[in-house]
Amino acid sequence: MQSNKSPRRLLVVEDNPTDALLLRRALTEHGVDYEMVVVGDGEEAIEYLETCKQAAKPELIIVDLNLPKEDGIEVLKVYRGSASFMETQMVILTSSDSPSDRQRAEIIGVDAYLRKPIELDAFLALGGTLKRLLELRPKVHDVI
Amino acid sequence: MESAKAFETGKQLIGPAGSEISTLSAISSAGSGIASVSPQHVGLTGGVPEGMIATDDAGTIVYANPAEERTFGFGPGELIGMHLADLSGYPDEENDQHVREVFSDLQSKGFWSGEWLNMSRDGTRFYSTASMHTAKLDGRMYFIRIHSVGDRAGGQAAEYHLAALVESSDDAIIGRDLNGLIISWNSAAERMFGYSADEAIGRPLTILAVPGREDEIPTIFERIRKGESVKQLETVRRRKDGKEIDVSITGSPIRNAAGAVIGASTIARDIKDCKGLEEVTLRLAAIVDGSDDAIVSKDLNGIIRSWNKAAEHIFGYSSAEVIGQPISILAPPDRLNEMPEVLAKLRRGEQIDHYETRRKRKDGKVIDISLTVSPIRTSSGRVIGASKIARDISERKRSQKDLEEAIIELRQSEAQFRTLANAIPQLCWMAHADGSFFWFNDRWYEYTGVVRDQNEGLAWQTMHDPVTLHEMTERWEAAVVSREPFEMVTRICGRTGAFRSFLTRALPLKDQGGRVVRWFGTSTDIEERKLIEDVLQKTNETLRHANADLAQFAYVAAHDLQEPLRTVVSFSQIVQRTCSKVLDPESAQNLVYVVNGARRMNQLISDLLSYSRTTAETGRTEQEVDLEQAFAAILTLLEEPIARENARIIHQPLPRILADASQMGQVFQNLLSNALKYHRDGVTPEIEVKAELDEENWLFSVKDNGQGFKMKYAQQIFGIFKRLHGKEVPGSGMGLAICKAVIERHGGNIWANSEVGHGTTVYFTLPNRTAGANAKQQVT
Repeated sequence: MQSNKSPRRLLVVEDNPTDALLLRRALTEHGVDYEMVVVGDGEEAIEYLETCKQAAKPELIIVDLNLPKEDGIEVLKVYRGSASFMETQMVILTSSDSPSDRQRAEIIGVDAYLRKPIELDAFLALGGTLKRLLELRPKVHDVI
Repeated sequence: MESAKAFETGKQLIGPAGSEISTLSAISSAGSGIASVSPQHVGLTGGVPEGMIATDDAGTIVYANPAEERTFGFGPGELIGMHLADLSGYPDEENDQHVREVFSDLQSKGFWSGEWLNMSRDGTRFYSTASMHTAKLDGRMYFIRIHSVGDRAGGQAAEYHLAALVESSDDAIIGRDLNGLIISWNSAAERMFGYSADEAIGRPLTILAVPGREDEIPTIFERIRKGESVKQLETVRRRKDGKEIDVSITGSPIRNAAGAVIGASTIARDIKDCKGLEEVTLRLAAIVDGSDDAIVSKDLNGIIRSWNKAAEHIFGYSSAEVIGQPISILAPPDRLNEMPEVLAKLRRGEQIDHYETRRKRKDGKVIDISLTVSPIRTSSGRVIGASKIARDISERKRSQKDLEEAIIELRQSEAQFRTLANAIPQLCWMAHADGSFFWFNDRWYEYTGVVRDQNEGLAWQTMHDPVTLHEMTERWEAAVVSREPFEMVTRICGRTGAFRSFLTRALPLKDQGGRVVRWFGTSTDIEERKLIEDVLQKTNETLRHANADLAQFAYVAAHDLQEPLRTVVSFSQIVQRTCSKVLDPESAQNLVYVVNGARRMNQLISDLLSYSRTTAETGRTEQEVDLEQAFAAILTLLEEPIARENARIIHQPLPRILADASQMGQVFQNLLSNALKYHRDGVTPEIEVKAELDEENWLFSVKDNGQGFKMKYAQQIFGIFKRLHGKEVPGSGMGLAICKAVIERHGGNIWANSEVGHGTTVYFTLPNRTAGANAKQQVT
């Protein structure tokens, strides 16, 4: 199932560069071949998604919460129901345990709500979770 | 016109005393008979000077007495044949008319009297007072005129006049001579006794005597002969047909001019009608006896003469006991003086109406009575005694007394109420059942500055805030209709013009039938309270916002603080792994310190977040919690440390209560963790959990046999970040603080007892609330 032909396209919306670094390590740890675009806030994310070509559309969007400018949740809200992002997995990765954040995520319907653990091993294990999500990604072309 | 008989030829004219005898010839012969006027008659007529004239029915004079002849200036007999109008002084036409009118009156009424304008022979006109009578003779009508002209010569006229009166009397009038023989007998006597005048005259009066009582008439007659009179003697006489009749007899002597008794007059009245009175009397007696009022009669000496059944009942004496006794036997000692006063009034003929007094019964009991006392008079009007009607009013008096007492009580109660209503700081008022206000207390007038005399019904409305007046009026009217208590916060204008808030309440006062008698209302000044409430509400609002902000802050802080910590921990660990070969042992150990410090920081942040969540969470998420289940879940969670310490945990059955499930779990978790953590070395931890119901609260206890602590720290241990141990024992010092926050948020208390080296018991209470007691909450 694993496609070796081209790297997986990821968009990470994260204002903490070290977390982005840890995320790269975790994906690498699990042998995921990826192309990662990292933007620092929601506004940047929307600008990117609006301008990227169909072929360059990310297969997985990972957003943090409590971002500067537009929040990650707002980004997902814009594209969650969009037909051109039907094949894109959308995941929240955050330190927040706030019930209101979880509630907001449930309402828009994300594919996973992941908490950032403080221990390195636990964080690296997230790579496996994300890898499985990519593999479960709906393959519209195959269906057609 | 029975008197006509008196004119019949040869018959005697019977005067009042049966003395005068006259004949028609005396009349027709124009005065010849008149000369024989007897002295008796003169005595009877009293010598009244009267002129007299007689005419036929056409007015032609058939007789004139000498007095009349003289008065008009005519000689004897000269007037005969003249017309009555010839002696009148009216103008021609009027003259005839006057006479016609007089005659017309005479024919219809038999009598006429009035002023007459006369004219004498020489044309002199003068007025006189005249009276005219009718008389019948041989079937013909005659008119007799008598008038006073200041002349003594009218005696003869009076004679006829009186004869007419005697004849028209309903009483039998009989004259006797000294031998007792009947000499006159009027028509009433004929009717009464059945004898005609012819039959009776000349016979002895004893023809009327009843067999066996023949002596009575001579005896009476003897008394009269001696000059005595007999008055209203009730006796019996016999009629011609033998029937006996009851009569009342009055007999008087007839004297001559010299005063000598020459006969007797007897007037007899049939009293059979009076006999009918007996029936009436019997009927009255029955009424008297049937009366509920005591009816008593007494004579002027105060001696009881009659006594009805009600009197027997009211006073207790039988009539046999009291008749003949003085009325004073009924007087209570304090009323003895009253009786003579009453008698004195009666003697004066005064009546006493509804006089309320007291009388003594035979058994000595004094009763209240209402008296009406009337004099009893004889037919002549003489007072001979008194009738007394007494009504027992003891009952009425008693109820009157009760009523008076009730009124006094009511007045006192009313006075107390008004005093109270004026003493309290509230505005008080009363309204009629229809909702119209009729009374306000002093405080109302003080507060509003309204003058007492102003139209109160209007004043109360003008005193209310126009903003709420409409709603208030509507609600008040609705309350009046539904008769349900009224309550509303209203704003009432004070004398200064400033409005203040009042809690106005009104209750309907109802009678036994449930009808509203009146409304009683109070208005309590809640301006200060309302201000405080408003401030409190604002403060609470602010506090709620602050708490919400704090909770949000805690999350954000936790998130933002944990990010750098993760960097520290993760990258320290990367260094540890990638450089393990190149790091010297001391540097490796230092990295461990870095990681542990960051971890500890992370734990503190988590616990702080947990605490702030407990205290700041708005809206309690309570439901019925089975503490038994919650406790079991915690035991599972703590499986590892329990096994490690080989701890023995026993617990009594735990109840179901209304609480936040996760928070209750946290309390058990923290307390059990502490009991496990602070065990004594070498002593197997034994933990006992209990729950006891004490009236309204559950009392929980978690007892261990651990290290214990000094009681001076018993308060301190519930503080934030407060610990009694160093870093050698892991922990943030937030566990008990969280427990305290949870328990207090549920309306309970938490405290601890401890002894160093023996163990600690933590107690906490929770209100005994179940879903059943709060069903609504469960449904919603």
